[in-house]
Amino acid sequence: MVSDRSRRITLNYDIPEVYQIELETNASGRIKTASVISQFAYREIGHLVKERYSNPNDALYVVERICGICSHSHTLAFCCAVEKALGTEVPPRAAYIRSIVAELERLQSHLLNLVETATQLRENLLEKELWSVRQAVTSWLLTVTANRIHYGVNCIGGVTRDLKEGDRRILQRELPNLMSLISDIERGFKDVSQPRLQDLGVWTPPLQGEYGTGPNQRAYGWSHDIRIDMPYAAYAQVKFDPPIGEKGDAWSRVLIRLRELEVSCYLLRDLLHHLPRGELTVGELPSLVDAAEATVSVEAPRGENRYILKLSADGTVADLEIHVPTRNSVRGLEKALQGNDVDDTKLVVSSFDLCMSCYDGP
Amino acid sequence: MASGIQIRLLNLGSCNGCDVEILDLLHRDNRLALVGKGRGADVLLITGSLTRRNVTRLSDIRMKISVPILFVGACAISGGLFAPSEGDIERIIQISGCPVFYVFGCPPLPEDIADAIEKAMKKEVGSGVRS
Repeated sequence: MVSDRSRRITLNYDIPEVYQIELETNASGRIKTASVISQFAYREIGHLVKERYSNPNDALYVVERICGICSHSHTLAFCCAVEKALGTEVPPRAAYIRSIVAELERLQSHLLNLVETATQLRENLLEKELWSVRQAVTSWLLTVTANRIHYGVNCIGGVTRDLKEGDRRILQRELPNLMSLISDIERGFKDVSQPRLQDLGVWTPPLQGEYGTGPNQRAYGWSHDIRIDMPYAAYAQVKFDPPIGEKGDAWSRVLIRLRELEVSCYLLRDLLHHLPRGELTVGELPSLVDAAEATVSVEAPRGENRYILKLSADGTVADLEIHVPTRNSVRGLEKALQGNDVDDTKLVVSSFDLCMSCYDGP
Repeated sequence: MASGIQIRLLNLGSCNGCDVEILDLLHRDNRLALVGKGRGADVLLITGSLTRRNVTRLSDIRMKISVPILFVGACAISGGLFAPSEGDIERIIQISGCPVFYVFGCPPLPEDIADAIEKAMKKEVGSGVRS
């Protein structure tokens, strides 16, 4: 006779991020309920910006440090929000450079998550290959931005650093190599992980947009992408179709990220090819006559990153609300884990690509 | 660098920037290995400004440390942007009397972290690596 005794299990994650997942399982080892416990990296960033770093130029430096993986998407959202509130637009060259860095960031972020998935699958060779590709991308970021983690490229009204003609040529020359490496990786993943990940951790969010956008949502057929729906930076100038999945299982989520790597490469090719000449900043910023408000979303590597900003009449930040994509992913993960075997938990978690410093930071 | 160095990484509330750079270093140099909780390590790497929830985690481990400690990045060294954070990590750690090393930067380069680990292994007490 099968016992109906349930068990409580706490999984501790401490490298590189610190969080816990509490699971309640039934007698056969199936998960009944799951909850993510966090707040280990809670740094009150919204409050800190309001109280101590209310000058937008200082605040930019703080929001960059919300996350060490997708720092550019935070500064981009913040800059776009301030620029929208001030009623100004950045010059075309600056917009293109912002998009180029955003796509390079997406590449390194997705590759980092795929490394984690390969580690969970115990595929050491694949993990090493992925990391070497990621190292190539971070070296490009170093070339373009002179930084590897916090790029410091965005400033209110433009960008701080130009893309030199020589660097642009290097990137254009290296892109085809990266594309062929990515198709090798995709083949490698298909061979080793498709059977393991299929039908695992299925998340079928209602297709009404309440969970925002992101690769996890697109893995179940949500066809929206902020870069297309509400284009920012230079995304209105390029055309692409975001990859869409069907099943919403762990394999779909991995596959979507692999396909997004390809899409980012195509976007980079187009952006580098059409990079216009011109100014890097708008110069003198317009001053406010009254308090202003702006809401801006950008498509961070993990999904919709929404900044709701209020500026006082003197131009300082009166309020800042940050909605990070991991909020939606955590809700999805808690649902997706239900009914799964407890042994597969780490695989399902890695397929969701949580970023706890984004989740906790604000 | 000396062979077979076991590293314990303690994230006390970082943005993951330093942690990702440490992972990068581990992939570059296969003589370094990350060890989990409860295993013997040769060096302790601390990242992040001390957040409220991590205060208890830190005080749980502080009496058990008997290896060199590396403070990696501005947040771990001084609290960085978030100073004053929930407490002075160094003051809490110093009780155990372990040699302390600093790796400056936000975040530091993997090469600088490697240099500091090497110095820590040679017990060059008091030296810091500046990036």
